[in-house]
Amino acid sequence: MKGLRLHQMDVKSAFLNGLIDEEVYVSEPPGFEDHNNPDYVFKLKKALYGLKQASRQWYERLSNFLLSQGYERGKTDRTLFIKNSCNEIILVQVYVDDIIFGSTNESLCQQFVATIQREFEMSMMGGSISS
Amino acid sequence: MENCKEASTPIATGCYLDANEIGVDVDQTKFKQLIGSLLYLTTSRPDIMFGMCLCAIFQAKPKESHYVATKRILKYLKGTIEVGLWYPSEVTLNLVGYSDSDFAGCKVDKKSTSGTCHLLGSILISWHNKKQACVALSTAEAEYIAAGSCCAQTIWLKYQLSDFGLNLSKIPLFCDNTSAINLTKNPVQHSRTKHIEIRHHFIRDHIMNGDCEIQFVDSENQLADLFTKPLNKERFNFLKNELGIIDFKNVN
Repeated sequence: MKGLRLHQMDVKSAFLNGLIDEEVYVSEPPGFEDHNNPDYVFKLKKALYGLKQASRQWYERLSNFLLSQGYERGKTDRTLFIKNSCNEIILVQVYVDDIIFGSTNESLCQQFVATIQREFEMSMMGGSISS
Repeated sequence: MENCKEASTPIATGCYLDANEIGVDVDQTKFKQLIGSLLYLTTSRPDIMFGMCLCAIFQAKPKESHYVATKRILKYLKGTIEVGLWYPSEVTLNLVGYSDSDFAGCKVDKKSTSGTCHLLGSILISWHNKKQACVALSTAEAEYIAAGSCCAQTIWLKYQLSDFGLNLSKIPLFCDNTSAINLTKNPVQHSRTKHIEIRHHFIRDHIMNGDCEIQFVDSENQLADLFTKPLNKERFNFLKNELGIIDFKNVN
């Protein structure tokens, strides 16, 4: 094998990151009532937990981000993202908000961590498993 | 159950489980919960796969005899708590598949059971046990159907590996039945095979394309045996060892 060192991260409150492109309204939640206009509803700009669009929008947001960073989507597994650069490879496997990644070159991993942390709020899982 | 005796294998060799109409009923919810827990465990314990699948068939009307057989799996687990899959770091990346079947394995409707497994180098990466959807008329037919499902899984793994930059072709697929092997190579309508459903001939196409290559393996080295029949202790431990299902008490 190639001696990849695996790292794991997860995205904090992932579904809140999804951008919504449809018209969805919510009634005024408790604590956020507008006393002058109690009959008003709010139009959503971003996804919320419990919304049926939430998971799709999250995947859209994350995959678009990775694709813009030069990653390629796996042909069979659409949640695998791959980037090749000068004989080095980085593999990023996504499971909803959990991301597991490894590379033949450790600096690619560090680079990945830095880029993704700029985009999303992440938490790093401790430890590393080598395979 | 905590103070039970340990069993050396999950299923007794002479184990005969049928619908057992006259047997004493047991609580269905409890039985289903037990099966559910064991099912979850098969993701890391392929050694109980066969036993679990055998017992799971009776979930609709569980009887005392089924419950006893299921409890034997727990007894086996008690003695093998520290068993798991061993994935060493130094392996060559070549994929092989094994397919086996148990003719008329299900005593209720006489359908056969398919069992397949895939190894990447020497490590077990995929395993499967399933009662076939139709009744097979011969062992060759049962083996042929099993080889078909093994082939489908092989193709998926091949695509998956190509995403990782590993392009394989002519992936060996081991089968222990020469008649079934010949069936895959010879696309003729034979009087005893012409009833086989079209979907099972899927494998022929992929062998002709060179995606996989069917090869003979003697029954002794048929690793998919573990997923198709109850085995004695020696054979069971031999196969476990070959598949890298190892007791971590013995690993430093």
